[in-house]
Amino acid sequence: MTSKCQSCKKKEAEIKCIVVIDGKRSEKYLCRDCAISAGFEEQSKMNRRKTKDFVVSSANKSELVCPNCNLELSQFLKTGRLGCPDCYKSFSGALRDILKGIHSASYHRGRGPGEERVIDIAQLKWKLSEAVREEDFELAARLRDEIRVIEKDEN
Amino acid sequence: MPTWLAEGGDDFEVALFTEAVYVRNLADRPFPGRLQSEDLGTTRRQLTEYLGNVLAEYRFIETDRLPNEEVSYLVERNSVSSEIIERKEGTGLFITDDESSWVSLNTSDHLRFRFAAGGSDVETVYRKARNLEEQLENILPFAFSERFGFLTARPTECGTGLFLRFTVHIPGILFSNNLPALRDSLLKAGSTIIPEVNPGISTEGHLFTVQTAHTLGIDEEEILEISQDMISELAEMEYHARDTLLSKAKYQIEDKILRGIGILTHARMIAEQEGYALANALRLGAAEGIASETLDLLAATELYLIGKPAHLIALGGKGNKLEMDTRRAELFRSYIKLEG
Repeated sequence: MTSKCQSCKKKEAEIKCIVVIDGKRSEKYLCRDCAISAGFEEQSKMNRRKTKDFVVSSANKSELVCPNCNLELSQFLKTGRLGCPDCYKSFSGALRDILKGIHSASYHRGRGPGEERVIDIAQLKWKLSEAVREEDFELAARLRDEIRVIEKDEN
Repeated sequence: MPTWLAEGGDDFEVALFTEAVYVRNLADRPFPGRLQSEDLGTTRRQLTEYLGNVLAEYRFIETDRLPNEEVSYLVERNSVSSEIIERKEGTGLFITDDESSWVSLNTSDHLRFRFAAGGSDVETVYRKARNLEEQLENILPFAFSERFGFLTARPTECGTGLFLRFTVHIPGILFSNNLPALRDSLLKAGSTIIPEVNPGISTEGHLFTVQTAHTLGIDEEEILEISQDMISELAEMEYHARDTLLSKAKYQIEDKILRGIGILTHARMIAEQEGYALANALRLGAAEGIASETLDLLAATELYLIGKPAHLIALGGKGNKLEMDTRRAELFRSYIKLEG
């Protein structure tokens, strides 16, 4: 079977990449270069079935790291746990394929937190307490002003 | 037994209970698995402060201060998710007195909240869960992206971050070897079925968890539809299988159940595995009116819970295996109806 790599869509796909997260399995066929850059590495030769169909699951050491929480892509692939909300951006390439495998979709449908409501004063207060804790007094002052304006309007 | 479960519900013969779970995280910090001890403590403190008003009806437990058997006790009765056993540090739990609702802090995600009701009751659990979700959304900045929806530590839960699940008793489907067919059919419809996990028991029991499988690419209404379809399909399949069994293998089934009654009424020691098998048989008997003069459906359901190790400890302290098995047999006997 010859087909193009699902990532670069140029070279011939020669590696079947399998990711198992919480027991849910997703597969894709990549060329060797794309597989390595996506953080996959060859599984032990014992498990190799055919040359063109070997299973890879864990990842390469020199690879993507989330700049916010320092989680490495390989750690995520191993544990199935992301480190922080920013990981979704940092690993978006790999995640898109993984999510398609798990959910048969990679886009959210439905409501979001900003919908069905206006800016809430309690949320501003939360942000204010955070700003004070982090000693970001400029932000804190701005938030305090916003809260005052809303409270005045409400009264 | 938690009081909410003692009320039973629709299709209680098959569906023990229904749960709706939302998973939510704060936008401004790593998920709990990547937080240092100090930040876990800060996050818990802030969350308890902020949630205190909304959750005025709940009591709060610093779960990392609880001894292991008390945590196991909560896990056994579904009053906190089992992942708390992996890592207790910095975790917390808001829970109502009837235990039907709880909000856990700092397990895999900053917040997981669950609502439960006896039998099959998607509407009630979803309505209550959604109501709390909206209240919390108003006071907390949740991690959200346009593309991936609500962001969760496990990519299997991102998107709506909502799932519905049922704990079901399906001896009919198992005896008639229909589990593979059910599994395939549920998978196609967007849900999964897994055996209930019991650390002390090696053989597969008759209790399973059926859960909606997807959170991304479908909205909440579709998730509800899937869950309602899957429980009605499953219940129908189970009732049909039981009818067939009771007409074709009446004596084998009755024999199994009535032998169970014999053990229940006369055994002086019951091991954990035997207790579980007994609950499997007696619950089927109670549901189908076989020996129901000895044990009713609620009592038979309670046997599952009461026989678990942390529950036995909670009811009489720690002991060796002999003492535990004796206590289990004694407790089981106390559920026999006094007047036949």
